[in-house]
Amino acid sequence: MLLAESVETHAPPRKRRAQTRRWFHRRTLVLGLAILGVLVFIAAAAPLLTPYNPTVQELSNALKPPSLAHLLGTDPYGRDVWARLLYAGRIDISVAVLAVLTPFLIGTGLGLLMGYYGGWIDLVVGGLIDLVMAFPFYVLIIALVFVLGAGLQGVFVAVALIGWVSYARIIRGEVLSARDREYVLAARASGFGDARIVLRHVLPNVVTQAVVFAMSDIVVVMVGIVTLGYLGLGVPAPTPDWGSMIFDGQTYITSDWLIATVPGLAVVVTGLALSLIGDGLADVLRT
Amino acid sequence: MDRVSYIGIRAIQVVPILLGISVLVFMLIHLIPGDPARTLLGPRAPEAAVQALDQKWGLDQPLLVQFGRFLGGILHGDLGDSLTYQESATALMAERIEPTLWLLVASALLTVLITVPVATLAAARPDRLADHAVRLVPLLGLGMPTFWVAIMLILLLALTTHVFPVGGFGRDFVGHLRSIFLPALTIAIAISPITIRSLRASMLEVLGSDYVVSARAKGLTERRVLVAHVLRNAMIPTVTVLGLNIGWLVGNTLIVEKVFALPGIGALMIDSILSRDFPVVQAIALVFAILVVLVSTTTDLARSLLDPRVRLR
Amino acid sequence: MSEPLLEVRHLTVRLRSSRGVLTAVREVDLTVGEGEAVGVVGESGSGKTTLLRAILGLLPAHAEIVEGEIIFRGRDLRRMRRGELRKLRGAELAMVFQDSLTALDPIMRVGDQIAEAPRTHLGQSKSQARATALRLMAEVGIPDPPRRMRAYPHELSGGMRQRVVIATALSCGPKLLLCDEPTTALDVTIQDQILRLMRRLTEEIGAGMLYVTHDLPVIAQLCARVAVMYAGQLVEVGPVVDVFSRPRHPYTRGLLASVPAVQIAGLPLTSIPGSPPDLADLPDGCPFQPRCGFAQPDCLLGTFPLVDLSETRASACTHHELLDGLSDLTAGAR
Repeated sequence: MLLAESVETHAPPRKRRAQTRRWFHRRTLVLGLAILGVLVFIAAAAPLLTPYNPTVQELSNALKPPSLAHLLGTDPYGRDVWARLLYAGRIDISVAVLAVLTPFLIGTGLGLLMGYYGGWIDLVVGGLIDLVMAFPFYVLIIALVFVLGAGLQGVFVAVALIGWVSYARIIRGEVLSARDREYVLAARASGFGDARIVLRHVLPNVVTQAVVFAMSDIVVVMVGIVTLGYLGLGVPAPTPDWGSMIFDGQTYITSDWLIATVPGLAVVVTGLALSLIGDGLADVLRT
Repeated sequence: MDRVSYIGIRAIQVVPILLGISVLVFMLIHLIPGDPARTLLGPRAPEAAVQALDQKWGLDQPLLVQFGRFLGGILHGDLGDSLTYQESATALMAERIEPTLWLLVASALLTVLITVPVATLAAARPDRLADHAVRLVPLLGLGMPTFWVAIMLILLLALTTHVFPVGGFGRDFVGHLRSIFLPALTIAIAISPITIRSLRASMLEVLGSDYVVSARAKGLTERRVLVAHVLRNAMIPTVTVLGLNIGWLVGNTLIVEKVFALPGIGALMIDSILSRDFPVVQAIALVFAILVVLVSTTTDLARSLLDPRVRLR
Repeated sequence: MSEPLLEVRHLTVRLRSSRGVLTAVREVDLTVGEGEAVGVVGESGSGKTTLLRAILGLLPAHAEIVEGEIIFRGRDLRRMRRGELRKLRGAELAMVFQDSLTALDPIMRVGDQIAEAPRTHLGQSKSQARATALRLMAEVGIPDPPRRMRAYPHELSGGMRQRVVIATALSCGPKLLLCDEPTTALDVTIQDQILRLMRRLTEEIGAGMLYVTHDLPVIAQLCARVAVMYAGQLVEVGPVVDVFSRPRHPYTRGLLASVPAVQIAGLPLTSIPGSPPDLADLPDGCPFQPRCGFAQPDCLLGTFPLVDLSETRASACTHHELLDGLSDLTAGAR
């Protein structure tokens, strides 16, 4: 990073001020972070924001319209919709973030190897990538969750098995273009080992694209988890999940449309926040 | 290289991918923890039934032999027998392929019908209100679960207008059309954010290019500039983007068919998963993957017809 | 001189950029007579291309003419309706672009691209326009036109493509040809062929030419008069022979001294120190003053418009007499 750092310090002060200003002017990034912050806070503080237990059924209290006692009413099993919405947010957001972590690491690692060494590893892994890409995402993830067993463990493994592909492709491309840049050549000329060059010099320069992609990947995975939940293959009942909430509510769509609508809106807003962050991040990192 | 040999080579390149797909689909059963037959049939199934299934699928034989049998079956159109129905997976799919094909074609058409005008509008006046609105669409669209969009369309369109049924496939042509509209619209809504974004970008690139300025410098009418130069050039990336997203489109049919109770093979796959009918799941996964490969290869070829610069790398 | 073919008066063009509004072309006055070839010379970013595109009415969306008149054959192009101007473009006013690879539509056969304008303006049928394209391609020296007209731009060499661009511009027999450095992307031998070609063809059809470039020898070869542009303004105008032998602006002198082919014995080959100014942040006074070896204290104050020195020459430098004693570039040769 020596070279990059020296460039940074030599940049005229006016330019650096402009960069700081640009950071703050990235309204998308700030807005996205603000929305996500509020969502995470609400989800984390769920026990403080509702007195109800999201899993306790009270059938005599089923399908109640919104009231002061039940802000969003109750579901067909008499559970408080607002409480389930908050607790489902906890599950869905954290599962999505955690599920993306493993493919991020695997894909980044394989992408580094493919891009830096090329040769047979590039060929073999590249072929595997083409194969996974040939399958429609939902076909593959549903089939995998099926054979691995429904539930969170199956979801984690399935997402990892599919998700690494995109990261490997992105990182590989970035490494290919970075491999012959001056700072890598300089590191090579200094006689550093491959491991040191890849980890200290190549990785920091290529990982940003993968981070940007991870933001939209979290959205896709979250929607996937919610979809699996809707199909009864994801987060196991009675743990609240936005997908199963929508499933529970769809039968009553004509009379109690809130039950199916609100969890979907929650997914959309969370997705919007993450997309805004990803977009803003891409803008900031591009400069 | 001329176009004919390009097409030939592109066709040959498909073979290893198809082979790889069958390996992957074949391996699915070995991802099932424990004894697959026992897991699938459930703990209360009699031991004899489990052993019969083991025997039938040849699970006691070496992997390579199993794969040979599997591949041989595929080549003969034999994708195994359903555990639930007294039918082969192929026959089950054949009965239910029609609504899926309808849905795929209709949603691709609707996607184009939504994408082209919206992207053109945004690209024609960059950084104006319409453009900003359009740029927000992908950010919103990415996070919209398809099944939820489907339910919302039922709530907002089917239940209010009564023009579109909430489910089923209808009996005659008009019935099919009415039944397919909302499912296709759902998929188009799910795909459009991606296609709009990339078409807008490529339109902007084309509009800012020198050859559009030079077309205007020739004094061509604005209509001719748009049709002969801008749209023709912007079509190429659009076709590519559609081809790249065909997997996304196919994947969404599973969910949409399920929500709208369309009797297609997507819904069949979900139902088979719920009834633990492994051979049918396997067969449909295979068919969908092959479909995606064939469609994206076709769009590649279409691109080579549209773009004289395409050369085999 | 009778009524000029093109008369640009006080033309000012502003651009909106990420760094604020800047003036790309400032109060430019320029005339081109019937059949006359006028060169505009300047470094990249001096506003030459913007000037051409302003004349054609094809400025990019972020640019705008704020002042001035563009009189072409007695009519102000700025006051014309869009449709009228469009009918002039390609017919009487044609442009030759700099980069032939980007100026040609990559997915249209070059023959069709040449035929587009005759079909639009001359009302030719498909087959007539095809014949026109064939004739033009032969005229600009493309071998085997029947085969080449079916080629796509990427299938032709740079020189061939530039000939296609020229054929396109000439297709309707224009009165004025606007040329935006059409030879910079080519190598030297081909450059020479193209220049000869353009000279011959414009003379044949009697077209006037406004030729924009950073390349002084090209101007010397092609043009009768030259205008020197710096930071969006004209700093010197005059007949090529006079200006190149006795520059009346330090910038012109600097340009001449930096070109080996024009450089005269006895004067060392030097480049102008510094770089062209930031149009969004022009220096006070004369825009060339920070780089000028002759700068005086009063160069920092006021504005420096073009002032007539004689019937044919004008300079924006108030101290041009300083150049007199030492700037007779031909002196050494004499």
